Amino acid sequence: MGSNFWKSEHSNFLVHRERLIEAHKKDRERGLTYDQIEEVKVFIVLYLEDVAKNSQNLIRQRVAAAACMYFRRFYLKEEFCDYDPRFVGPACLFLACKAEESQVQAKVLFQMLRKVSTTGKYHALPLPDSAQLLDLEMAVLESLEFNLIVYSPYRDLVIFLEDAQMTDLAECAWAVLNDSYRTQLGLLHSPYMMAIACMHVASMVLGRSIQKWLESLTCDMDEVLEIAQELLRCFRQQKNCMSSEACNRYLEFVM
Amino acid sequence: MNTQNRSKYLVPQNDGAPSTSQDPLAAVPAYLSERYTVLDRVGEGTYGVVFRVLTKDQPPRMLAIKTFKPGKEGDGISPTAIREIMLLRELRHDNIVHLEAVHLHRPDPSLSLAFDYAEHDLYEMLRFHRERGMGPVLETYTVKSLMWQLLDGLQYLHANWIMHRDLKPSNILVVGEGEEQGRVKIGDFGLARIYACPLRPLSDNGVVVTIWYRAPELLLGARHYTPAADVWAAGCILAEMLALRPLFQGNERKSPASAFQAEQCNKIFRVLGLPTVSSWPALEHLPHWRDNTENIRAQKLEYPPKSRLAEVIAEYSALAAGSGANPAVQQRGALTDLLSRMLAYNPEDRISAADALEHLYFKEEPQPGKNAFMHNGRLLVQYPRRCKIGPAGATASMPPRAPLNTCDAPQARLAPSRNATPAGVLGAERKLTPVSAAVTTHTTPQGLPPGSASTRPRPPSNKRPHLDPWLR
Repeated sequence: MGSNFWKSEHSNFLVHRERLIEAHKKDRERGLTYDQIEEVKVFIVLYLEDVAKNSQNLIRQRVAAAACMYFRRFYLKEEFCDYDPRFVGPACLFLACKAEESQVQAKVLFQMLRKVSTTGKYHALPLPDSAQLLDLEMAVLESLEFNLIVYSPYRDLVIFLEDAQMTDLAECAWAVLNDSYRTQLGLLHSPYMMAIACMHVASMVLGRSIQKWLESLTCDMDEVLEIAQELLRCFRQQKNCMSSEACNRYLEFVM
Repeated sequence: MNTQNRSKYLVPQNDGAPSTSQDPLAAVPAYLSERYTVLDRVGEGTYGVVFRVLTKDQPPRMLAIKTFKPGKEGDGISPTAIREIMLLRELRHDNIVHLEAVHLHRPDPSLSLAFDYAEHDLYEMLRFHRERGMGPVLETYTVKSLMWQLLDGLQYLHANWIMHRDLKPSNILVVGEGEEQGRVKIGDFGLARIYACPLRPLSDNGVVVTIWYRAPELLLGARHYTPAADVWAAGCILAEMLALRPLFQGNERKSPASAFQAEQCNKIFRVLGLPTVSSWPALEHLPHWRDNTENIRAQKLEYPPKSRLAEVIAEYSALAAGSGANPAVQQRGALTDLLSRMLAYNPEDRISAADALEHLYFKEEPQPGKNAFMHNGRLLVQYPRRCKIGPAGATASMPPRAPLNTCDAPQARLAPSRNATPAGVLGAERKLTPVSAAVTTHTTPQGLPPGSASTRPRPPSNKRPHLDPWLR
């Protein structure tokens, strides 16, 4: 598990694209479109990332990344109309802090949430109360069937960059990987494929060729290209992220 | 989520008046007694209570259910429980305790873990021998088999980048009668953690490992430590099986939580001699050595110039055996060599669990076996059961047994660190709130059956890059 992704439960969490299409049945019946649902998810993921960024390093990027994976896995099964994503997001973050051995006290988490959501683009987001946070922590744990170990592509990225002797791509590839959590790709592809695809995108952005290195791998190049294209498409689309009012409006629709 | 949206989990609230009786089963949460036949309480610790139960399957199977006390007010599920679940959820090894189910009860937050039941633990086994008085000690075969299995479980953990961090006799479970008789099961993963790429120094977790089994690098304040700390603890356990008493039995300073444990260091130095920078270069950088806390670096009269480990083991085990010879120490050479390697001061020189399995000690006759109690068809010893088993379905109250982690042995704990909440340090005397009857939201850890439609079976294939990224 710590050493072998394919023997881990994380690998069982990889799903087919069809599974994403089946999700949120009730929410869609109540009028939300796939794109609107995804918009809300991206908004919450950005929210969690910003909470982490403003946490004075109490919550590291990797913890926020794990929280985002929990959040996305949770909504493979659950629906917005049953579980408010504006509250589930913070609960995922709370749980990820424990699982990644970076525990923060609930009251400290609330301070962080308040700091981020009183001003700026999250100003209209409601906060869960303490009882809701703790209840949702259990709901998330249960829905994830207690699988909390998330393999992080960051480690693979570092290994690959060194192997390809392309450490100058590091900063860009790292940023691409950070942004990949705004997509659903982490549910579809293994962490090391994500890492390779992020390197590929970074090489395109910086006009470097890593073709030779890619060819030396025995991985599925079609999959790498598919991930890369999806990443680029999402980044183009998400230039303008929704407002917290719009998020609230969408959710009022299904509540 | 609003509370109104909880319909899915809405449960009939029971009037369940808190019971005031002294019945040890009074505190059994209803969501457990509905699902299982609860037999008795077999343990109690800082984390909560352990019940022995029978499943309602045919034939019934016996499980041990660890019910966690509610965490610190307002901080949700205790990190101890999270560690235990997330690690045991994925670990599969003959010598690691098997997590059978997790019961999560949301309405009145409570969490219980169901494990395969193990009748014995090494703490009780050693006590049994000690209390029988001078003479009968553990057979060589038993000592070797227990140690081999413990190391096998340990090498599996370490190969998976997991440190146990609380190895001690009471956490070494051994299966009683049945298919897996005499099989070691390493238990209690409440302090265990993945140590690949830690986000924070491991020392942020506070004090780990019960003091008698705590490695010198931890005692001297190392901020980073390695799985070698588990091997040290295993070495102490090997010595204890021969001597029937802890090898380094220091008195613990209870406060502050991070207090320097001078006496424990002294106990170790009396046997192994004062460590030297020449044999352990990193020693210079360990805080308590560097700062010479309480003059720890001073050579004292009682410290031997070189390790007296072999003599001490011979002496202690002769005492344990009384007038008779202690068969377990007859193969002195290999045994003391292995012990001295497991108790090497320098963690980098300390033998790894994997290498220890290859040690000559385990090649010499009698070779270790899977059933530590049975050798060549002969039952070597019959340890008493944890509890007298009542008739099937009985709920008669049993006298409460000594807690699993008895109070005469010190406890490892997580001291409050800068940011972490020590939810594992709730006082043992805190009573569980009786839980009113409710439907438990129950999930087996097995989760989806393999190959179920929702999962995408992707075995290791030629899609993997040529280098193995998982070898970290």
